[in-house]
Amino acid sequence: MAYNIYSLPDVKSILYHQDVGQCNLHASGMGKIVISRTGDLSSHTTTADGYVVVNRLRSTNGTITLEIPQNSIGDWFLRRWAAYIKNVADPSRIALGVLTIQDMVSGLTITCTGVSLQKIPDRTYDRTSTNVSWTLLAATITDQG
Amino acid sequence: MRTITKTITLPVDGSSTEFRLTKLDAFSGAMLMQILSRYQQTEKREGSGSSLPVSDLITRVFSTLPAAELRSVMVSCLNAVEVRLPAGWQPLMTGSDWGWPDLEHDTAVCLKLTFEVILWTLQGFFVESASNSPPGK
Repeated sequence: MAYNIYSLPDVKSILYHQDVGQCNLHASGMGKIVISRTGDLSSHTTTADGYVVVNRLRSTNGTITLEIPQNSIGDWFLRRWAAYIKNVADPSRIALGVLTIQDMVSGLTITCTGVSLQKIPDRTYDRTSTNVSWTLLAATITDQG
Repeated sequence: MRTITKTITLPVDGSSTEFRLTKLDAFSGAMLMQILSRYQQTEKREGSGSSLPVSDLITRVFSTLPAAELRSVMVSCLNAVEVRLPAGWQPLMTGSDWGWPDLEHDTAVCLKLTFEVILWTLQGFFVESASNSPPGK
């Protein structure tokens, strides 16, 4: 029986911002990463008589959701990033984030550049820790492999 | 409150960068002392007279330290260093992961920082270590 391997511990995800530093999410508590692209690759324009034009569309941007355990190093890093961009004088600094997600098993590497924080996430204080869901916006998402 | 941190400025890629060194804990410091004293005794036995200045001693230790020990000393020292970035103090290394990848391929600065952390941790054991000049040129 043929099978394939999937291993989250072998997915190396690195968050970098030149003014904040680098955080290896895989070593500082990674709950879940969702990369969702905003745009479509194609769309249809149809006429009343049934004629279809297939539009080729280009889009590079998207949204990344990082589910990170409360109070982990990754959470601390993102809090510092948020605190910094709230008050930074130079607006060009806010979208300098880079997120690299490298799946060592499949060989797929996803690189997100022009990453900015969408909002400061909801924070729950419960009996036990919960995940904090950070939403990042990426101007460019590229795949390799 | 005891002072266990010290801020130094080193040039990195042409621009002066602030680093904050934290003293290693007493057990790690004792481990460093053990390694250093091992070499200091060797030096004395070779008849060089008075003991070496500590910066020379560290340089000698580094030139003969086994690879695994060298790595472990460097990693524990660099874990005690933070760099001042526009967003605030960022750990240079956390475990074996880089917190500021700009230094990942900068041997000279990493070695200087390692020396500085050793000197700062063992300050008081050696008279010379009170000096602020970076050792090893």
